[in-house]
Amino acid sequence: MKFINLFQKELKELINAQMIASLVLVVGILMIVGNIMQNAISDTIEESTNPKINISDRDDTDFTKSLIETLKNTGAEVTEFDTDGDDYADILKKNDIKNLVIIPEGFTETIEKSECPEVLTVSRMTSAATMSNLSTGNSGAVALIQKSITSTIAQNSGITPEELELIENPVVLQDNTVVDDKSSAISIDNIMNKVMMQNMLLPIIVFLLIMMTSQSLISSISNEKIDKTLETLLSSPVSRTSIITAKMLAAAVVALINATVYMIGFSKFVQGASTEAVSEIASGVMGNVSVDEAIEQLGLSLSVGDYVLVGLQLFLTIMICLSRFNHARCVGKRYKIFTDRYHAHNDACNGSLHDFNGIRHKHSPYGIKNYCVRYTVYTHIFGYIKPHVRK
Amino acid sequence: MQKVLEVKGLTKQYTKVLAADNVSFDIGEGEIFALIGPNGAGKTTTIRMISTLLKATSGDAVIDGHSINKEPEKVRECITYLPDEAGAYKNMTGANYLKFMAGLFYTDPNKIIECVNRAKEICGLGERLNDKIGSYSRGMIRKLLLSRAVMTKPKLAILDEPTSGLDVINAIEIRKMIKKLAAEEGMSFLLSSHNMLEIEFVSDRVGIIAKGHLMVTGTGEELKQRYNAVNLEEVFERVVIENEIH
Repeated sequence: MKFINLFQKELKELINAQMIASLVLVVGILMIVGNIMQNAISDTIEESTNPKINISDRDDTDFTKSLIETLKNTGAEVTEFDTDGDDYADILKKNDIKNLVIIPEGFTETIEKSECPEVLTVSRMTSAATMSNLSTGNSGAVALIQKSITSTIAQNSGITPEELELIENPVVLQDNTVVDDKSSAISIDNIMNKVMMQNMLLPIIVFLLIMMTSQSLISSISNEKIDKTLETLLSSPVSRTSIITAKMLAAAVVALINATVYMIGFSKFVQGASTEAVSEIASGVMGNVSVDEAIEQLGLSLSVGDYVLVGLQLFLTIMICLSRFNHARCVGKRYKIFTDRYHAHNDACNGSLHDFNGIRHKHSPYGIKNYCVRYTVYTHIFGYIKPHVRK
Repeated sequence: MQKVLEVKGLTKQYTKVLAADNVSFDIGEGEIFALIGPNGAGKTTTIRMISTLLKATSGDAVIDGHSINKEPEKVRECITYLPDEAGAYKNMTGANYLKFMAGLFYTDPNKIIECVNRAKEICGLGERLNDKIGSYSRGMIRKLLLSRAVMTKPKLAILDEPTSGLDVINAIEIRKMIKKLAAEEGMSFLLSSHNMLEIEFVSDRVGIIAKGHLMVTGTGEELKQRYNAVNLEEVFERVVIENEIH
């Protein structure tokens, strides 16, 4: 009952308008970014299926003309330009285009000699952003050119299109993945990509939350000291353990609320950024089930019970981290008391906090100086505080 | 008279400073005892040891039969402590603060309400209790905290500089309140102050403390007679001078 009283007070201190506002803001931003990514990705997908091809035919033979004709027949939007010289920046600028495929002079001649002809591509990089350069039509164009040259050569050699198909793809791959006793017609790579994304997400969220909660735990204790409410609290008939546990529990509960909201925001973000593209490509290429469906079929999707378990695990992780953190802080405080005393800067405050941490100070067998030196060595060498609390 | 507090040779040694040296005194039921002395004399250290916030280097204090060394939890149940320049949670309203603090002493809701009502009456803040403590003046916070310290009717209320930072009117009100509670409710008080004139008015007995030593204890009248002084300030001056000569 007393504990609930303490806990409620801590919770009320942590949950305030600012916290709720920042949560809403974060989720809002994540969702907006997710949406933008989704739009960018669907644009890219659309452009890769219907590429805009800018082409400059410098060879100008019957073969290249029929090649461009074939390109047009594939559904691509082909625009022809007359260009000369190799000042590509100027060419792109003059014609106000972002990308260009150039069929150089002597292209047909080279093919006729049964040699490998050259094709030039020019792409303008407008920004360093990942999404901005995805949608150049050059790669699509080059793929189409290659394909039509292959079919032309095949035709000339008397190979039918069906035979050509067989030569190009002699084997049709049908991936199947089995989990336990369930199977789905999808490649294991696709499943792993999706699961990886989830596996990455959780540790990041946990890390973020631990940073946040440990900060709020510190400030909640130090604020009591600064506002001079700590002594009143400590002289009241509640145990030190319940004071600190109430603070930790409140911090963890708030962290869990944060986690839930962040997860929702992140999942929207991830959905926008990855699932759409992955499943689009997967279903496009494989022509069978999408990743989400496959995960469902394999029984890898999380049920409500699983989410509760994940939540519980998160909660315990945070609690454990906070207690470890507190533990380390006690050692730090103890170290401070030692150095303070060592340097004869003593005052009554240290005594009270030291007692608050529950460490009954007795003389260290190592001696004060020794202890400080050991502590410094630990923090410098290992970069963390070696817990060394003796009750 | 039954003893509420018995202090037996309390000593606190910081690395170089002996903050309290073998301090012994006692307080009876319904008695107001004041520790007086200049800044840094050891008043607060002694009080903190009795409030179980500091561990004594040696010695003991027994409050209502409980030792501060062996049963600090029991001790905390029968005392309240008002630290010097204490604050309250700024985001809480005055009424909620009283409720929260009462909830640390009692689990029975009726008891809690009883306590809060008592404190509301004592502090005299009226409607302002529904405002956030952040908006209170220093005097209001002090009154709120004082009412908090006495609302649970502790065996011993420990008040460190109860009127520090208050104007004359507020200080007089608080002195009257302390006297009234001691007389009517039989509550015992341990006060500390460096304002000796105030102490003369409010306390039954005083202890003069300087440089960690409790020099002398007695009622104001006794001390004035013994040192042939007009007021406690003069007593204090003579005690300190006498101590330096020896």
